[in-house]
Amino acid sequence: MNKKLIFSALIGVSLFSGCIRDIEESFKTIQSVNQVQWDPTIAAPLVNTRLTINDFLNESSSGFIEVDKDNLIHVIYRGDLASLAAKDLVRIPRQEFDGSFTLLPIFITQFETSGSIDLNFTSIFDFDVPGTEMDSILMGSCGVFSELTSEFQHDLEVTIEIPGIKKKDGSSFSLTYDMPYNGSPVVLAKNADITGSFFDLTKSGDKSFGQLLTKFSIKMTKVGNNPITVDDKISFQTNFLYNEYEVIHGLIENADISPGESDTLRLDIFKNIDADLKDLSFRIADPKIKVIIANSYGIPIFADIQEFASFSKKNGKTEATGIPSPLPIPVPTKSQIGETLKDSFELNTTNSNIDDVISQIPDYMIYGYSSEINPGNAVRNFITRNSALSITVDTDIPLYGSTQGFVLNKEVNLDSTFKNLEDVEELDEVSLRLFLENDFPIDVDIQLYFLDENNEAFDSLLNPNQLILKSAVVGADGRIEAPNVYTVDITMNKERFDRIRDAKLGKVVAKLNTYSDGSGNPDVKFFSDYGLSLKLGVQGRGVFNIKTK
Amino acid sequence: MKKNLILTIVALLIGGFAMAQNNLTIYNMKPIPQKFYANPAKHSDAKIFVGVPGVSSYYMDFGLSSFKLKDVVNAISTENGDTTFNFGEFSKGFNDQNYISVSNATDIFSLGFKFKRNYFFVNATVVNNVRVSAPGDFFEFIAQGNGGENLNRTFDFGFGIDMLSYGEIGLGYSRELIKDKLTVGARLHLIKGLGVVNTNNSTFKFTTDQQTYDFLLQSDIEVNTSNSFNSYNGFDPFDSTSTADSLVVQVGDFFTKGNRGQAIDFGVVFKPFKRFEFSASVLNLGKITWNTNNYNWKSDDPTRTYKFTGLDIQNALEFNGDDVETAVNELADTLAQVFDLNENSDEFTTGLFAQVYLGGNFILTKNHNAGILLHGSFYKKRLNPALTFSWNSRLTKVLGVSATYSVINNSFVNAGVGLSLNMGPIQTYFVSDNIIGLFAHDNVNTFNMRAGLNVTLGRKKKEG
Repeated sequence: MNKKLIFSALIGVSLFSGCIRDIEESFKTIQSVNQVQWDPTIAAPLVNTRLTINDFLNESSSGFIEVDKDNLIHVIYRGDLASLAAKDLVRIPRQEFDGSFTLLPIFITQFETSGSIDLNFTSIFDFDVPGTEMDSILMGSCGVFSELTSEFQHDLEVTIEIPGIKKKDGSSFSLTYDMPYNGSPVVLAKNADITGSFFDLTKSGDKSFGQLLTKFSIKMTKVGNNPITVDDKISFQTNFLYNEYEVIHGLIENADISPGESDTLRLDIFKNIDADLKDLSFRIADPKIKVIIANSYGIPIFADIQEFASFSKKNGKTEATGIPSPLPIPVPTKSQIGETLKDSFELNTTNSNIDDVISQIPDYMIYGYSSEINPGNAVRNFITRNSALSITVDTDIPLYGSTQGFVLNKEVNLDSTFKNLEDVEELDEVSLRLFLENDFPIDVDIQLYFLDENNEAFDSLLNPNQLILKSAVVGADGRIEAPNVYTVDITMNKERFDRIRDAKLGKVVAKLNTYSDGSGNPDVKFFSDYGLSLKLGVQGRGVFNIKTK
Repeated sequence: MKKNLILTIVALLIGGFAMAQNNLTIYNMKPIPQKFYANPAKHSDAKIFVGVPGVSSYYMDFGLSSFKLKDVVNAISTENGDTTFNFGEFSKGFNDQNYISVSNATDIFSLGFKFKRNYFFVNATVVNNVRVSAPGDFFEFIAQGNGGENLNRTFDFGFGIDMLSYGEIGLGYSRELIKDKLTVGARLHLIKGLGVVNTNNSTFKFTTDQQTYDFLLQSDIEVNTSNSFNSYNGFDPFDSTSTADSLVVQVGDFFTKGNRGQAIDFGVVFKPFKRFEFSASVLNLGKITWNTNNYNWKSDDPTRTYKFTGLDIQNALEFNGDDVETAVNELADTLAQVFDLNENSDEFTTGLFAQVYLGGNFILTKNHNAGILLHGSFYKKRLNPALTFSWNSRLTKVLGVSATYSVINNSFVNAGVGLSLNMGPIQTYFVSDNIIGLFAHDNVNTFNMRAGLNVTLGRKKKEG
């Protein structure tokens, strides 16, 4: 029995030690691994997006987009033909009044006799505002600084009153100075805030338009045996500062307010179009230009458009016709003070050649005008602090029309795109699968060219004519009947992929033709719910050797 | 027909992997009392046995249903100075479902005695089973990708984890109904569930559309967990509120309240002829009801699907990195919403890995016999079968030996051995269904063993 047990034990120990050696060998082999090879084929949906006209326009146009009640998209460029603010037309400069008074000998004698004297006199000052003949001013902000200097060696009490200035509480503007003699010339300054005061500058008596009557009251009391001579005087200086008006009534005199030269408005919606193509035909069916005039000056304004045209590099300048002359500028009456009156006119295909103007694929619009205020000085009226004249031009380009041979070019930066793929060294083959659903009533032949450092195309993403999205069929109601659906496969092997990812720049070229009904190219409309649905999937096969040590 | 039958049997044999105690070798080892765990009608040949507390029976089992160490080594090649691990080659070693399983069972004490034609036995055992399952689809997806031939294929990424820990008191009884002909037995398990992680459902289906490469996702998750120790605070000598009395109350509550179960085993041994013996047993018919300290997660709507059609870029013409980040965040939010899991603490039940044994032995002499044993274990309504051929000998009064060959766990290389040494009343034993696992690890992916120490009294002398 013992022999059997010992024999069994020996076999067991032998097998167990052999087992340990085997395990050690296996783990040594595993530990020697310095790379993991992985060769999967991965497929994934990458992007699912829908591009609408809004997306295209937001990316390419500075105009704003409006959708009308029929869902038709309009691109509208707004430019200011004229703009005149009240502060640019009439400003009240700083007003300065000064003067001095001496005593006649008769008053000196009277003073010496009685020991005091009361004097009253008036003066008229000009409240001067260039280019106007004012009846009144309702002031906004306004401050008064007034300083008196007395050379008399006696006590003084001085009151200055301007009855033509009524403060907000209804009282006349006045300042009182108590100036006891203190051994040297007496100087006293005062400030007053007369914001909201009403200045009566009408013509009356000796006072003409734009003048203020000022009353001075002086009481002088003798001090001891101090002397008094005819050379002693009181000097004053009064300044009106920060003069901002709320309303001016009067005559705003005739002036030419024409701008010096014509202005331009860039229509960047057409910026990527190759307008030099010979076979290009392009037509916007129903463009409009609307001129909106808004005025709150109570003064007649004459304005006349001197130039209104589009300009394209290919076709030069095309003048618009049908513009009224002069422009109808409404003027508020005194009962409409504070109101802004508006008038407008529209250039469209029935009263103008505006469709020709816009269909030139213009780079920009040119406009210039002349204008003058209060022609013939015919009217005395008003101007308020907020009075303004604006003439706004809305160039309305509805996406309604037709085109043939329309080519869009756009360069795209590929550097950052391919930078993310730098680590993909072992990619064997890549297949892109593109699903497109075209709602637009337009045929699109699209291509992406890869450019070298000399901007020369060395490869393209698609085979020629591989991706032509045919227009959806347009029904009798002007809308598409159903979108057209496409599937496009693009396969790249490693060599081609390595070559094109060196490209830093790409050029997207899209050739566009609007829907053809067999007999021609009718005008088609682009509605806001149209879009290009795009789904991109990718399938790639690679052999990756991932170093572990 | 015959061919189909053979293919079916082979498929069943290689398709299964048990998460239960395998007792394929010990089943026919006459001297070892612990064989009653495999068949309660097979009692000890000693009139009395007492398992030495804590060491009378220790069972452990480790299994991999799929690749072996050899598969890893074979996927490694050396060329041009580089030693390369080919992941694609390695992934071929995986099956549709892949498991790693670890089990152990330790007897705290066991006892058995014979009274006339009756045999009584009792045991207290702690059982732990852990099984992590990984779908073969996952490894194929990683290795091959979802493109090419895998387009339109539905991958199931349903990982699963199942852990079960319980303590049981077993009360066994067998009776020789017809002397030397027929014995029947049964064992009742009184169970206290200690902890469980039960992956009731775990599917995460992923399909890539052949045309659009869109991803179609569907998920059905139901995971139930419970931990009986969660409400057990123990005894803290530094806590004035923690007293010995409160400890007694807590321990009492632990054993009497919640997460309890019952199960029963049945067995029969029938010897119709002198040289033939047939036996059968059905084990672990029962369940544990988990109703305390439960934390469960269940898919809000298992029928809900999500189709990923690419990052939803709002405006591709002004595309930049922020758009990708926004789209990815939106996608993550959507996925979290679609595959939301509801939490609950509902009661649930778990089975006990029911098993069935069916054996036949040809008795050469009273101390030597050859046996064939069919074993089936049930895991989540799936039968995992095994087939064992054995030679069983009692060589001397001291030494009992069994040698087995089994087909188990997709592997045809499973040689088992059982040894029992009876030195006076002291019996020690070691049994493994796959001893090759220790020596030929390159080719083998399972290993199990049972070992222990008993005191046996009243043994029969060597016969024949």
